[in-house]
Amino acid sequence: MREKTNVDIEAINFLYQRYKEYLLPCLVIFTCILLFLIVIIPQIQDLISISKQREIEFKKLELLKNNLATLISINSSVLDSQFAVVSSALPPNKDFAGIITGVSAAAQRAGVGLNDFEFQVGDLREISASSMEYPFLTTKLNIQSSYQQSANFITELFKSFPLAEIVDVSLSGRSTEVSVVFYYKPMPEIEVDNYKPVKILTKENLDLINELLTWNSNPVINVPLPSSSTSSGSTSPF
Amino acid sequence: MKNDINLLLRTKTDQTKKSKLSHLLRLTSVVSIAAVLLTSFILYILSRQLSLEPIKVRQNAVINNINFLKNKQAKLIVINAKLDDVSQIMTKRPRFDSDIQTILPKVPSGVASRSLTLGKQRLTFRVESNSLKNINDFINNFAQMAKSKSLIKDLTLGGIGLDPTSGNYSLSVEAEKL
Repeated sequence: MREKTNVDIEAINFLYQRYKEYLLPCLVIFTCILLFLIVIIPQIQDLISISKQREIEFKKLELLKNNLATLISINSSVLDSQFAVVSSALPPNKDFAGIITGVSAAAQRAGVGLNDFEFQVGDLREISASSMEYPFLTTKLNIQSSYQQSANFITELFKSFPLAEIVDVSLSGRSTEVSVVFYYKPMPEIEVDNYKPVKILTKENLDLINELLTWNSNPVINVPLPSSSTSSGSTSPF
Repeated sequence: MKNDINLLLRTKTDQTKKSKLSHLLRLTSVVSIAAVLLTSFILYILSRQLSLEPIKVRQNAVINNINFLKNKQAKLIVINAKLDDVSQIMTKRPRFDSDIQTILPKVPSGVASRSLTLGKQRLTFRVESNSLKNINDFINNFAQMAKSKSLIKDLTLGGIGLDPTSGNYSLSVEAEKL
């Protein structure tokens, strides 16, 4: 008796034999199309995205190179003196010695007699450097002077370090009482981001420093820098 | 003989058609394989050339150099921040010295200043004179200052008094500063 055969297999076999010469090329073309759609097109998209990323990275590299060139071009001693001047103008803490020196020098330059100082120490809490407010130390000064000399003293005090602001003035006969606040501000937390352009001093800033330098007859104070954090994850050089 | 019943001829035509189709398919499949291989090869070469790794290596090299100059960078940041603060403080400081310089010439001769109190908003001035005419000149001068908006914007007379022992008239004025 004849063995049972599957008609479907026979039919498929027959069809395969009959269309074999078309079937293989069709299969190859279909596979190629599939490969193109599934593998090659995504790869092309990846390449386009990598190319864009490359442009961005190139720009970052250029920025880093510019930052390096800028930092190399800055004269260290000039920078140190600028740093010292701004730190004297706005010290990081209550600078009693600086205030006394500044007031005495202003009195000397204006030719007035300084009677007594009165410091109001004020709040002793730590003040945040990020605060927009400027902490200050209030001082009352009594001077022996004419009105004109008092004006001269105020002008001189205006140009002394730390930066002072006259709150009120009371002139009576040859005695003048001046309420002054001396500003200070804690050092800001330094966050160095290598991928941001180094901000060099503008012309206005340089003019301001030069103006401060002309005022700066007092010895500058040496202020240590706070530790800095860096976004590139490198170690601090301080 | 009719063409439609000529089986031999028909078979030949079909064979030719099938052969052409088969040839075309084979050619297409070969071209497809070649295209896929070529594209893959080009993509491989491009992906090797467009690698981000060399740029990252160069970036790290520059960052390492920058790290040696971190101190300078930090100082520059502090200087910029401090200068912004200094500039703001300097802008808001009132100039009492120039206020005094503006007021003093307005005091006529024969009028003695007894006290002058200057604040950010107001000023109070007390003067003495043995002549009412001088006191009048003083008031006129200050009224003119208020009118021309020079340092003050209004003027309030506090009162005129007479000290019988010295014969001096005293006047106190208050003004709101601009």
